[in-house]
Amino acid sequence: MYNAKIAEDFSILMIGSIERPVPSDLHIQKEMFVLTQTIPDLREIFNFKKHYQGPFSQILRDIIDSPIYVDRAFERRGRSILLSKNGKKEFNNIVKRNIKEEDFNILNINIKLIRNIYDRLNRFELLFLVYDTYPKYIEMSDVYNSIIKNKKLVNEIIVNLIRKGSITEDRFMEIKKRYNL
Amino acid sequence: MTDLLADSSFYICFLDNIKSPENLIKILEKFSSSFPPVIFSEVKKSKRSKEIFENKKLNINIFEGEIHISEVLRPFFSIEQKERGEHELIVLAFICYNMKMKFELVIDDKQARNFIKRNLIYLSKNLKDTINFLCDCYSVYGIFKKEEVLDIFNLIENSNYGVKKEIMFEAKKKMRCN
Repeated sequence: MYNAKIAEDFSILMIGSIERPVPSDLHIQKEMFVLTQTIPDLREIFNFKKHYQGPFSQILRDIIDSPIYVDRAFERRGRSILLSKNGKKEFNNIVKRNIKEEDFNILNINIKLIRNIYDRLNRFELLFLVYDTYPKYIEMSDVYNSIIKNKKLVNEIIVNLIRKGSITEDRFMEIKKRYNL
Repeated sequence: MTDLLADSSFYICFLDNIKSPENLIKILEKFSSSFPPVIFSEVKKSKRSKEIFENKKLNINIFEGEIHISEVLRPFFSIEQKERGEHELIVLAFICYNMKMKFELVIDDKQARNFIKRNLIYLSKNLKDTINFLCDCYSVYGIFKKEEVLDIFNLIENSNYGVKKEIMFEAKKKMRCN
């Protein structure tokens, strides 16, 4: 139960860290996955597994759909996810409780950075980069196979990424070489 | 105290390229220098690194903790770039910015600089390359006299530290005008 509370608090922090809603379920899943790579203690709590769309946490999905501790903490607006009034109140409570802890502040800032950078990616870009960076999660992924078979799509994805400045030129060349583009 | 977040090429310039650790120490005495893990291990490879890491007068912070900052921007940089560590420095700079700390971000790598300008534009204000940071060591921080900076520039030009002629030309011009 203690882990469930931590998971819910982190979900509220992730979604509430910036004013803008999280663009989609895919984004919250992958952004939280990156956070668990950044904070290894969270890996056991969220328990990301290999899934047809890459790393997936059922715990996170359940929290977004039916939070336990904060009634209706999250709202949906089309595909995007945001904090409800209750969720915002709890976000403020969490921050207030931990404001004096430097580690918490650094953690919160890292969450903001993840949101700032990863929110800008579209679904294909996000999936592709996660697959390419964490190849362990390619297994069981039909989506990965369908992306990779389509060289035109992969090329489009990485050209968009370099145009946006989301990846460096060296990263672009590295991917081109890896996929024989 | 202002935080100095510099990439490994900045430190290695002084320690190895121009073999001038004493000038590096003069700079570091004015700052609190933060080293993310990859940059720390890169700089430590230098035989002269002890002159800074074992110098008790310097305020050196090695970023160690439960947060693996190298993971945050991992998908966006190549393997070689991640081995140099600029992606970690960018995370530290973002932390300093959000904690409203004064900091200088010294990065020479053009691609890392472009990444900042395209994604985290507000960090650009604090972003400099080694050469322009040295200009500020004279004009802003009063660490060096003008002639001392120009001497360091000459040492750099005659070393195998790669700096574009245009950057050096503009910096020397700036120094002469100040």
